[in-house]
Order: sequence, then C-alpha cells, then structure tokens
Amino acid sequence: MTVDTEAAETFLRLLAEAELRQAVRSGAHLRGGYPGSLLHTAAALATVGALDDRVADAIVGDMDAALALRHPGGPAGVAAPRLRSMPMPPKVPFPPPARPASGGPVPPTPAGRLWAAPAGQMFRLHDEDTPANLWVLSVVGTPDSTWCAVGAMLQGRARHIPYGLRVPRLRALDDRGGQYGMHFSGYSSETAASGWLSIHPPVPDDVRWIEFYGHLDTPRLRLDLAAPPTPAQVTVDPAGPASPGERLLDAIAAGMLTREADVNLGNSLDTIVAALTAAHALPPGSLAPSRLATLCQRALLDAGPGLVAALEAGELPAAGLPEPWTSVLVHSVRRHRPAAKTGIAPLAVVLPELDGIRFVLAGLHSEPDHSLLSVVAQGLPQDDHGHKLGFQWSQWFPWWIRDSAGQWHVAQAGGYGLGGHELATLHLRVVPPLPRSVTRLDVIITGRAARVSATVPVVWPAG
Amino acid sequence: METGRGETNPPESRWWQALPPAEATIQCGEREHVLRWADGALTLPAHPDAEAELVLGALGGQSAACVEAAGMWGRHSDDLDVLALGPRSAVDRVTITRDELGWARAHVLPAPGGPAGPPPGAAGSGAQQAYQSRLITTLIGTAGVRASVSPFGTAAAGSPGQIAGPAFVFQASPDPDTRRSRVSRIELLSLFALGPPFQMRLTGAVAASLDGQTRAANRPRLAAALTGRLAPAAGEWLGIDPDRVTAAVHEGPGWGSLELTGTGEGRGLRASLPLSWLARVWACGLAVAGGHLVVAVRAARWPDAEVLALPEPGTEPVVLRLRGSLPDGEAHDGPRWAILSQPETHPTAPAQPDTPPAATGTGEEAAAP
Repeated sequence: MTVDTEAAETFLRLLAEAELRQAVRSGAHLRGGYPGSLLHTAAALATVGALDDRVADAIVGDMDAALALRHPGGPAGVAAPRLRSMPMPPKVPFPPPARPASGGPVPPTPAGRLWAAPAGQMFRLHDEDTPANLWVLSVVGTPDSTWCAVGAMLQGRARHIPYGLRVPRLRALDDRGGQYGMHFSGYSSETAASGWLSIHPPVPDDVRWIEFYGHLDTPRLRLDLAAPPTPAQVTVDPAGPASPGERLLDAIAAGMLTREADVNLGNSLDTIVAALTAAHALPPGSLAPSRLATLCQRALLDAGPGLVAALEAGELPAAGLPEPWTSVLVHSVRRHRPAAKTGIAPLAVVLPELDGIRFVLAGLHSEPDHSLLSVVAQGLPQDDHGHKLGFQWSQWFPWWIRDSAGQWHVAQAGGYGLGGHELATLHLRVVPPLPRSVTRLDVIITGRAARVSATVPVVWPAG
Repeated sequence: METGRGETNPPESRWWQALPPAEATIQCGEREHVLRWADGALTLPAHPDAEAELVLGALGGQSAACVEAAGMWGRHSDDLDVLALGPRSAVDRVTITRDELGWARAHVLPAPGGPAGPPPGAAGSGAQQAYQSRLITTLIGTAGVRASVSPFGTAAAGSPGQIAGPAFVFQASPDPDTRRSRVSRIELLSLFALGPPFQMRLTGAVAASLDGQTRAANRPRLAAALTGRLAPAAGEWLGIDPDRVTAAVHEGPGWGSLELTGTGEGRGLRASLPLSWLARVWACGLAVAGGHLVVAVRAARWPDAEVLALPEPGTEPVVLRLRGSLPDGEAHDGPRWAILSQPETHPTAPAQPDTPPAATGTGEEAAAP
C-alpha cells in the first residue's frame, strides 16, 4: 500500500480552509481557542509519512497567520497566540529494518559502545539546599556520555524549594583517579525527585568503579561499573503486519488509555481517521478505526463522536479490544485497585536494536499515583521536534508491560533530551501505576517489523 | 461595451477588465503619495519615472516608499502565499496596520549590527510580550520561530520544574534564507495593508499568473484556494453550508462543472472550475450576481460585463449582461453588479431534453491560460 501524498496535502489544506472559515464565523479565534483539528491531523499525516513535515508545518503556519490577520484589531489584537508548536514526530533517517528471520532468545549483553550497570544504592545528600536520599538506579554510558538514572526522596527544606533537587557539590572519582562533576536534570514533586545525573567528562569504558562524594567527612558511595546487567530474558520476533496508519491509531488509543490530560483529541479523531483514509494510509477494511471507536465507546471518552456513531450505525465493522487495552481499561474503572508501589528499583538491560534505536531499561521509580520507567536510548534523531504529543505518536511507542500478576500497563514517553549528546534520556509514564506486589515485568516494544520482549526481575531495595 | 479580443477567447492578461481603478495612499518620505491600480497595473502618479528609481534603488540608492511598494507588487504577483493568507470573499477582512508593520520590520529584521528587538517571551510586561508574540507569529510564520520542548517542558536541564508549555526559540540574527523569508512575508503584508481593493486585485494577479507547470506542481494549494473562495459564494448562492462545498481545478476546455451532493441539511456542492475563475470572476467581485453563480466572463470593460452564469445547479449557463457600481462608502466591499438584461441562452449550449444531474461547461473563455 502506497500513501497518496497529494491526497494527504489536499485533505489538510481543505481542512485548513474549513477551519479558518469556521473560526472566523464563530469568533473562536478571537477568544484564543484552538481552531479545530488541523494541528492533530497535520501531525498524524506527517507521522505516517503521508506528508512531509515541512509541508505540514507550513500549512499550520499559514493557518496561524491567516487567523491572526482576521482579527478586527489586526494581529496585535488576537486574544492569545497559539504558540507555533507543531507536534511533528521525529524523523528517522535510517532504512527500513530487515525482518528478523526467526524469533528466539538473544543475549541481553551490551553491544557496541553502549553499556549499562545496575546500582540500586543510596547516597545521602547533605547539601544544605537539598538534603535528600539519592538512589542511584543504574549507570549507562557510551564514550560520548555517561548517565545515572536516579530517584530521590526529598527531606526537610528540600520540599519547599521551587526547583527541587540540586547537586552543586556532588562529585565522583574513579579507580584510576579520574575526577568527575555531576549535573541533575529531571523533575521534582514535593516529596520526591526523579531524573538523571549526567557525569562529566564521560566515564571511560575501562573504568571499573566510580565513587560519589559530597562533603569530605560524609560516607562515599561506590558504584561497580563492571557489575553484570540485570538478568533478563530477551526475545526478538517478527511484528504482526500493520500499516503506519493502523499503528498510529493504536498508539493514539494507548495514549487515550493513559488519560493524559493534554491528549485531548475530541473531534480530531474523526478527522484523523478521515485524513488517513484519504491518504490511503489505512488498508481497506482495516479494523483499527473500529478498535478506536470501541475504546471511545466503552471508556466513555469524549472523543471520536463520528467514529462511535459510525460503529453504532454499523458503518464500521465491530471489533474487539486487544487484551492489554481491556486490562488497562478494566483497571481504570475498578473501585478497589491494588495498592500502588512506592519505591525505586534498579534495572540495567540493554535491548537489541529496533528500527535503528537501542533502548536501555535503566530503572523504575514508583509513587502512589504514578510509576516511571527510566530509559536511555541510543540513535534517536538529533532534532528538537520532540513535542509531547508528537513524540507519543512516534514509531517507537507505546510500550506495553505485563506485570507478574498479569495486569497490563501502557508506557508512554513525553519527549526526550539529547543536549547534543548521543544518548537520549526518557521517562516513560507507566499506567496504571505498578502494584506493590510486582516482582517481574514483561516489557514489549513493537517496531515496524520486529517486536522485542524482555522479561526482567524487579527488586525494590527502597520503598 | 469594449470587448476587444475578449469576445472569443480573452487572454488571461486581461482578467482585470471588469474591475474599476483603485487607489491607496502611503507615506512616502515626508508626504503622502497615491498608489493607483488601473488596467491591471500599479502606477505611481507622484513618481513619473518609477522604473529609473527602481534601478537606482537596486544599485544601492535610497528608494522611495512608493517605488518600493511597486517593486513588492511585482515580486508578489505570482506569490502563492497571497492565496493562503489573502481574503476569501469581499467581506473577509484581512487587517494589518502600518504601525504594526513598522514595529515588526524593526524588530524582526534588525539592521545589520543594530540591536535586535526583544524576542517573544522576553522580559517585559505580559501585555507587551503577548503583543510581540502575536505580531511575530503572524508576520514570519515558520521562519525563525519554533517551539523547543525539553522532556520536562520549558525547564532546561538542571532546572527541574513542573511540566509546562513549549518555549519560543527566536533567531534574532537570522540566516540569509530565514531573512529572505521574513522580508518576503513583511512585503506581502505591506501589500495587504493597502486595503481590501488591493488585496482582491493582488489575488487576481496571482491566479492569472500561474502557468501549467506551476499549476501542476501546486494542485493541493490551488484546490484549497479555489474551494476557500467558491465556498462562501456558493453557500450564499444556494443557502447551503459552505463547509459542504468542494472544488477541484478544471483543466481543459469549457467552464467546468457543478454537481449537487447530498440532500436536506446535508446538501452540498461539488465543483470543478478553471483557475482563471479566481481572477476573472472572483477577484472582480462577480462570483454571485443577480442570484446566479457566475462561472465565466465572456467580455468586460468596467462597469459592464457579459458573463456566463448558472441560475441553479444542474442547468446550463445563461448569458447575463451586468453593470457594476461602487456604492458610496462601500468601496472596500467591492463592486455591486446588477443585471442589465434578461438572461439569454448560451448560444453554444446544446438543447437539454431533461434537467441533468450535473452541469458541464462549454464556455469558450474559461479555459485555463
């Protein structure tokens, strides 16, 4: 199936015309409201490769300008500008991956220049600004950069400082006398922080250990960089056939299951499906729109009214929901849910390459209301199109996770930071949060032609 | 009525014959000068040798604002951005003031070596920031402004905070391509600032300028430009939802075709019209006249026009003779057209035994250039 780029562009431009007309007629643009589905539809068409992202961006940009020029007071009188934040997905400049000849276990050992070591050790930060118990989950590195996945339980006054964790005095040295500085990036709640320590300069790969230290009179923390990775069973299997459009719709469904507040697609779902159909990005008879409609219907989501109506009228064929979707959906409506885990768990699993990307599972950080999976990625493009929504739609997500109790979870990334380095650090939000009882996870990542499954033990040294 | 060569197959270069002259004033040095559009050309009464001034300006001399405007008009007479940003109907107001243009020019295109203006989102009052953001977003579109998002919103690495919206990254010193793009956008908006009569005429000029190769390379853009301008006209003509009007660019002989779709509230219109319709009909304010949808102009010389028009979909076009007027104080809404004589059957239209489901044109003058 070949997508029709001209049909895709025509659809988007006609949509822009209609939404410009509607916005001016209703005055929505005077109130600063976002005019319809154009942005989401542009992102969808770019994601599936039906439209060059520069063309999509130009169409949205022209819409911005056209709306602003139609305010009675001119552009200066527009109620609130919509920032030009085209949710373009990252483009991947690599050839399509070869389909694996056969499935089966593969060794989870690091390959090439990418390495990971589990830690699961705590360092007490005595810095006067941010006293905290800093848990180091793992260390991941290449010759270009070294990162530690960390989680911190904030104490005392740290809860009241506006920007959470700071580590101005934290240093490290290695077994050869090398000295390192640290820099934290991530986010903080009132009681905890989760993120990454970048270690600079990068730690050479023949260093056996590094030691964290702060004040000279406080205990040091030694991290064994030669420690074996987390024992994991990793398999690579061919992925089931799916068109880019179907994969996108399934990814959208997964995003809706996470109920991210800013993934409010509303009527855009109907338009996105129409656009993908017009662009021949959905195969004839595809059940992906039906699945999406069924999800909207059963989850009572305020989205896709046209799709739901078509399903109810029999214009879309009936389709059941995949087991993971049902599992997450049922959990969300359950009155008595398993207590969520609070704590951190180290992980260090370098996964096989998928669509040109190598992912490293680097740790878990769970709070009562959310769980985060720390991930490092090698090979993500060095662009800054990592808009939250667009990245969720990129071809590497969502991830599906089945815990040791059989509950499914969906894991989505909001974006990533490269900072000019080779490695990207990500936090995947795991929905629903991991339960206290979890001892093992099956992590499933589906690429364009292959699916990687990793079964990893989970040990919670803290929490 | 003077018809000239337009009687049988008027060249697209005379698309403007149904339009009256238009004037605007601009500040030119210490004085206000008149820009005059007539017979498809922009003239500068205060600058009788504008061409020589343009040459001097190109050689590095100081150009008068009038002369610069004439140069802009020439540069943007085939600019497809005119179709994307310009008016969709005579009552579709495209507004930008000269003050805003001046502010933006100073801030978005700082003189080499001079101080750059404050980027959007920089320190300043909230109202001032909002003003700057709006203006620059409008003016330069995608060129040089983009959102940059870290994994944790606007918080940079090392400053963890709450997830927030994207932040502007603003190139105060644009690269040459970006600068050209900004200059082009400001020029275009400067032309829009001349007012609706000039906006309509510029749109017509662009539509008339497109050769076959350009049309073939820009089919989606042109289909949208056509639909965006036919929809309000057809909606008014038939009393239907403009969103149910679609149009494709008709290539080849004849005026094209119209077909009703749907029923009841879902009634819509599917049209195929030559791109010349935008110039010869729409830009001249002729889209709907006397309850007819005008599909082609047979001949015109302001204030008279002889057109092919449909009384309703599914019928053959009739010949209407129209006379235009410019009501006092309403010149910005474009000409008003009144029927001078009873409709006549189009001589080339075949006899129709039954009302066909669709009308298909044979108008000789509507062929694309």
